[in-house]
Amino acid sequence: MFGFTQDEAVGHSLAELVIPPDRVEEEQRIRRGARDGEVAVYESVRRRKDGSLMHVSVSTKAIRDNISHELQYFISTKKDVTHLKVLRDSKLVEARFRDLIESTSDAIVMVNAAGRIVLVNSHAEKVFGHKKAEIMGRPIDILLPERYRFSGSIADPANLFAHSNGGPMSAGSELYGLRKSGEEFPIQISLSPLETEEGTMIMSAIRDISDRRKAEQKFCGLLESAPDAMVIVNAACKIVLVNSQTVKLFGWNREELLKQKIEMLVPERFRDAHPGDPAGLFTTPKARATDLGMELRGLRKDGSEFPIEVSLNPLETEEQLFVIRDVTERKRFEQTLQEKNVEMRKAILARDRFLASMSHELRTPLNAIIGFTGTLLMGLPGPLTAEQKRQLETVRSSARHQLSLINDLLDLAKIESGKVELNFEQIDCADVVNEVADTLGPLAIKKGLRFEVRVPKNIVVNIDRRAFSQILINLVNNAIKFTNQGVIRLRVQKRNGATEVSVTDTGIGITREDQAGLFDAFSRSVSANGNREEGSGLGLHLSQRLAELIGARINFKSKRGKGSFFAISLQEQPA
Amino acid sequence: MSSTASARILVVEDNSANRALMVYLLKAFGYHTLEAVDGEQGLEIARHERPALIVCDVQLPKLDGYAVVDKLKTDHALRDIPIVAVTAFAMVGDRNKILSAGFDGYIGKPIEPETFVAQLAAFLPLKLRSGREYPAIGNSTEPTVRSQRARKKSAALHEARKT
Repeated sequence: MFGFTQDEAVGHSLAELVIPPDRVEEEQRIRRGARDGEVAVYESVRRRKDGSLMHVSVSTKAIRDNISHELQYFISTKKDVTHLKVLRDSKLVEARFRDLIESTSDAIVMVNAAGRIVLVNSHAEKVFGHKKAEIMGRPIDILLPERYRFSGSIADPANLFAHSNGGPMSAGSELYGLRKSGEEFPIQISLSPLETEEGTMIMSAIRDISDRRKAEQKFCGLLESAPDAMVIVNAACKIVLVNSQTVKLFGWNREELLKQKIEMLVPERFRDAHPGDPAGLFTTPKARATDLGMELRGLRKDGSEFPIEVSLNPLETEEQLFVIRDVTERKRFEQTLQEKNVEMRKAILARDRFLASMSHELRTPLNAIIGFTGTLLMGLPGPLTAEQKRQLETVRSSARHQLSLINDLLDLAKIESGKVELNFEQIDCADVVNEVADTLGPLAIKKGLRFEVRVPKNIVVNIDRRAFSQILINLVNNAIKFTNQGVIRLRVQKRNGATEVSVTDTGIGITREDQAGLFDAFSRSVSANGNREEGSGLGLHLSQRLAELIGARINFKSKRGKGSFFAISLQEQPA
Repeated sequence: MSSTASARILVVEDNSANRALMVYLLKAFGYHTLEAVDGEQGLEIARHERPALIVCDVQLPKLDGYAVVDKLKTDHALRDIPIVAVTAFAMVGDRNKILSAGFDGYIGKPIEPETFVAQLAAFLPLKLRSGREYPAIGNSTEPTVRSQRARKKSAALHEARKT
């Protein structure tokens, strides 16, 4: 019954062989009773040679010497009643707890003192895949993977009882259940002792935590795959979980970080400002005045610091998730960018200054050249001969040409550097067109051309006056320059919702080849008198750039020998 | 109106060619001129001579045109003297910048000799205008006419600067 051979057993005390340690005292008590009385009959738990427990029915009788009445030995008859006991226990707990255990969502397995299953609920049947009938009376071992059996884990009832304080057993150690199919699955077990008249039993509430484990793995996977350091702290600000990026970033290993205060990850001066307030520590870093700005910094194990950025998310478990990003690279990048910006601003400033003094220096000598040529031509110092006058006219027109070159180049430089200040205002087209016509009309008439202006009043456009005027001056100047006979027409009209200011001439026109690069800088048409040098070669280019700036377009049509048509198209703009 | 009744105009200009041009033109149209080669000298002469008009370059040694106009316009005795900037700062925005600095007028270089003096005369009260619509031809060698008082003060200034 116990599995020992005679040789193995003789000479050993019972206690050594079959009485479980927790039953030794009980046995001695019973024997003391049997010493005085007759036969003691009782049930107890005994251990087989293989370590498994069984219920036995014991009757112990003290045998005394007939004469001396001295105790000679005990006769103890034992009968294996394990199965009977299971049936009894089963009946008892089933009657008492059936409704209760069926109503819980956990798998419930009840074991008696011998570690035999005495009751399972239907949820347990489902989870483990065993029919109730198959496992009743079997050791609880069959629900556990091989490696846990007799290994000091819950399969050992001694352990079972030791653990049965109502708390979950799985905290810290991982437990697995075994389905009938042989599949293992992670479980959490809560053990509770039940005192019954049939002895103490253990109720195990077993939860299949496969889904939770999967979710946890997913969560950990997420944490690990994030490029940032992630730290979870509990309500006491102690670190409970970190990902490997945290380890890499701060140089502490996982064990060194766990259970420490999270403030270990920031320099001392940040901690002082927020004692015991990790959220404030990271979200409103208030370093002392001596610190570099308000930037939050992280502290590595080796004491070095680096700039970090932190986002904080409260979790549902009263824990908080800190996502910490190393922004060293970004800061460096920003720094470089800022330095570059400063350099660029300096360069732009230097260029603007250069342009301004260039303009000033180039004009200054021209003032004397044009001025004194003028006084000579005015005859102030004395009368001139016709030839003197002709030559002085050449000096003056060359000087003026140079002036227009300077002006155009500087204007272009200003446009290129984005330094043109535009001042959009509501302007009656007629004002600007008439002004230009008044200035340039006499030139056309002097050249023997007709000059027609047709401008209705009250066509108002929202535009920069100076740019508009300059474009128009360029176009009219060109028309006069390239027309030897006929007419120049200046016209303003509405066309397709846009205002069109056009200059038409009957001049030499533009060849097909020249039309392609017409708006390029320094592209010059042969002028009316066959002279290529007139004009800066920048007029149309500049006009085009100015038109872009004010949101206008320059259209043109031209035929060699017939004349040209240039139009400034001003889009209707909401006032 | 006789030429002696017309105004004295102070020309502050460091570039001698340009100063000569303006002085020549003003004289040709019948005005008396005073000359200064930098802002400091210009202010000194303005204080002592009280010209009817100041023609002032902007980029000047010692005191630039902005400083001159600032000191002039904050001086109760001088603030009513009109001052016109004649400058080669002729890029976009320069005109506004100069006018908002306190100058009464702005003429960009290069000047138009035919209209220059008329442009300046507009800043003078009618009775101080030369009344000469056309320049005197061939009379530019005529020496600058100055009042006795002015000549004395000018000489004193000259002496003071030497020491």
